[in-house]
Amino acid sequence: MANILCVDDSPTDLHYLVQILTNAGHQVITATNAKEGIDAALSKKPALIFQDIVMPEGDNGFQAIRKLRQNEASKDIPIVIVSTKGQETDKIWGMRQGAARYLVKPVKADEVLAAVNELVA
Amino acid sequence: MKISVAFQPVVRLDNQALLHYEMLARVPGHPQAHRELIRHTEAAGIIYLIDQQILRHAHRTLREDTRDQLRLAINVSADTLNRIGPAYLAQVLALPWAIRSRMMIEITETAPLRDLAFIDHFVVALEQADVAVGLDDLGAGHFTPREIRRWRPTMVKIDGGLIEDLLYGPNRELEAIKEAANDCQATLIAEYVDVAEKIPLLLAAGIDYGQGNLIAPAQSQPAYQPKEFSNG
Repeated sequence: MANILCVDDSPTDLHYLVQILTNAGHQVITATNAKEGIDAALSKKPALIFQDIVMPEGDNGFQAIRKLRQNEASKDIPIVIVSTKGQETDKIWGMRQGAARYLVKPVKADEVLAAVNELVA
Repeated sequence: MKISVAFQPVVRLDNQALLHYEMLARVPGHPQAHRELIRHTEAAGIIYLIDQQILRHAHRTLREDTRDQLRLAINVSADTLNRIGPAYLAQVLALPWAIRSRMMIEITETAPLRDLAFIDHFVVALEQADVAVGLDDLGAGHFTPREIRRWRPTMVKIDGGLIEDLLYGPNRELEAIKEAANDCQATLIAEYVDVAEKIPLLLAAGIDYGQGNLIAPAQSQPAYQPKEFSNG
């Protein structure tokens, strides 16, 4: 069982992701914008972060990932991007910013849980 | 001076999946005159007018792509950066994030870059704004593996001449470019993929993406359809 942070401005997408993770026995923290997500990452020290990219309020997900990677306290937390941006170039860009995996919405439960199993020790 | 644009796809060589389109300048009514156009405008010191028009075309094209399907690479020449670099950068950064995060700027060094400190800033500012940066024509222009290591671009495009050399065996210059690109996590793109024999050689050499007339010539619309290649 892991402590996992989910950051997404879409209540529907966030609810779906939380349900997948809690059904699998994980503890989930949520945030609805990049700033909340970064604050939660620094204060709660999750084992894994699921990060949305297109978020109209404040920083976008790529900016959030760069900030998390630059901070000593969060630089080693694995990040999984969960985004509607599903082109090959988006994936290349996301991995370049420091994500460990890139999932395209709508995500499937098995790919979410596979990412958790691979990235959480 | 009015120009039109053409779109040439860049694809994964193993499955022909689209990576993005390169948006290229064309002369309306004269489909083969673009090389002359680039040469003359560079010589006259006005290629920045072309580069700015292409930037506006890219903005308009991406704005009209409401389904968020298109990703576009556009060129900026060293001469443009030498003459109006800060203004060009400001124009890119002024684009909405939803537009600029679907763009890649390829720096084309047909002339030497004069202000390298500005280019350092240019590359970092674009990356921070989620605009990918590419270095164009490695092996033909002024760029070397040293510039790859300095600017750590998202993509490196390898000139057709070096790709042609692959047909005749390993090439030391290409190996040095690949090593620098791999160290910087830069994606390698082969230019002038014009015969099917090159594809297995490129894949074996670790170059996963390509563009060229075999894959698809530049066309007036971004309408790439993947196709099977045959060595026969």
